[in-house]
Amino acid sequence: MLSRSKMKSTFLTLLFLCTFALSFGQIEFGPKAGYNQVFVSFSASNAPEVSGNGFNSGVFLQKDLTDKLYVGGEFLLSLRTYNEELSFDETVDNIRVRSESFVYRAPLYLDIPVFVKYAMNLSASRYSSDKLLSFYAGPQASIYMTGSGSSHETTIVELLDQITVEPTDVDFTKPELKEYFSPFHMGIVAGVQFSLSAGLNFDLRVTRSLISTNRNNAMDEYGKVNNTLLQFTVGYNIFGSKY
Amino acid sequence: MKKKSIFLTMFIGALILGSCQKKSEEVATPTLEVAEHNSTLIAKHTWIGCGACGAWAFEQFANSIENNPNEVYIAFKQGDIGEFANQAIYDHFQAAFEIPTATPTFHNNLNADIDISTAQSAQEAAGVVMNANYTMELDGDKIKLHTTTKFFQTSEGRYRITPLLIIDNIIAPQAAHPDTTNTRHKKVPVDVAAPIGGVTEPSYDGYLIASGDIKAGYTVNLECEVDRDPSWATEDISFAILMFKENSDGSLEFVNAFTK
Repeated sequence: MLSRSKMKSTFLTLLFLCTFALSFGQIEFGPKAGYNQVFVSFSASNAPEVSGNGFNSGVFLQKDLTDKLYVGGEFLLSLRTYNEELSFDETVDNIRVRSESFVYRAPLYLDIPVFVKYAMNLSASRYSSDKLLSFYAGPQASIYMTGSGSSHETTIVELLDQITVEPTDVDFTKPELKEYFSPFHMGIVAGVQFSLSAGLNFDLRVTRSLISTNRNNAMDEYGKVNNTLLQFTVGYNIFGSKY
Repeated sequence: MKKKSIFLTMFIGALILGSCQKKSEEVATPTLEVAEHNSTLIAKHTWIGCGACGAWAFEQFANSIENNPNEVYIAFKQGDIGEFANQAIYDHFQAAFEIPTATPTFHNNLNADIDISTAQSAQEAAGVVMNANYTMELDGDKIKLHTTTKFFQTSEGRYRITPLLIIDNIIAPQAAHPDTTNTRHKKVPVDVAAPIGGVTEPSYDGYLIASGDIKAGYTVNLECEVDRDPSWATEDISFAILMFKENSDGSLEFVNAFTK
């Protein structure tokens, strides 16, 4: 696996090439927004898979290289909210201790995907465009912007036919969250886009982080954290060529 | 206009669909606040028929209460002071903690070999492992005791609490005391409260409230009750919650004490 610094330099090179390509010819540009479905995985073998959701919004840029090949990039603010659930149940000397822990995290990232797109026109309807269907793939840089989070743990102790239920709520501070989340991580993105002649486009993609989204010195109980993101967005090309 | 509406709807929809924090559905039980604080148990073993116990030792114990008002005091008492369990408690703690048989004997944190400042320093060095709090309710001929014990350090092992019923101002004889047969005996343990429900017999060794790997923050309630003698005035009734770690050989190691 590539190191964090190599990934960063590869990404910056690609970003430069895209910017260079975009400087010639007509640019397609517009806003886009959509829904995130987040799948969070942990390195520890006993950790459960958790999922969450959020939203994204930002802008896209695109430029044709040939009639079927395009390069593009985006700046997307992307919220990924999810709950980590941990449970514990142990009985020692007739004392049963159970705990239910819900750790809520809601990091906001600036996602910058850069991709190469291959387009094809599969329909002759009046709404279709030359790029009705396109497939794309490329690297994505994610910069941690801000976030929120909290922990709600309930411990239940049963002994001598008596029960104690004790909840503990903790709101994570911004510095604590900054210590937990990695400031920058890389991933790969692959997706499919439907573009209509009116300028609307519908995009479905999968993004997978290649390095952990939490810091090495802030591993939680389940170790390294990785995100897989399923994103659905709708965009509109406000200037440049209509499809 | 239509396109703007689509974007707006999607944005709001995504916001609504964002995950909310999940919470447990268990309902919290009433739990008392527990201070992160160590108290020293200052005690003496004494006998109502012993002259020294009614003379200088009686005064020394009274002075100690006055000079260190924030500590926990117990006068383990030998002799008949009104058919209470004071003698059994005296015998138990003397045997369990190897307190010298001679009276009077002063000891701190149930260790006859250390003075008050040494006991306090040792506790300060160890930090607050656990502490307790209680409320009590007089209910006819019963006293109901609600205790909460909290751990402040991650710990390992078996931990017990002993809720000793302490009565002040018991009028009983005391040799060599100026008040002779009408001496007011202070801080006398007369009984131990037992967990409500009758699943456990009253025990001076207390009740197991934590075992195994114990996380800092572990909190446990224990409801107990004990018989009330009609001669006791409400203001003279209190409890000393003694907290122990149980060693592998079954012996107890003093950890902390609480009263109010």
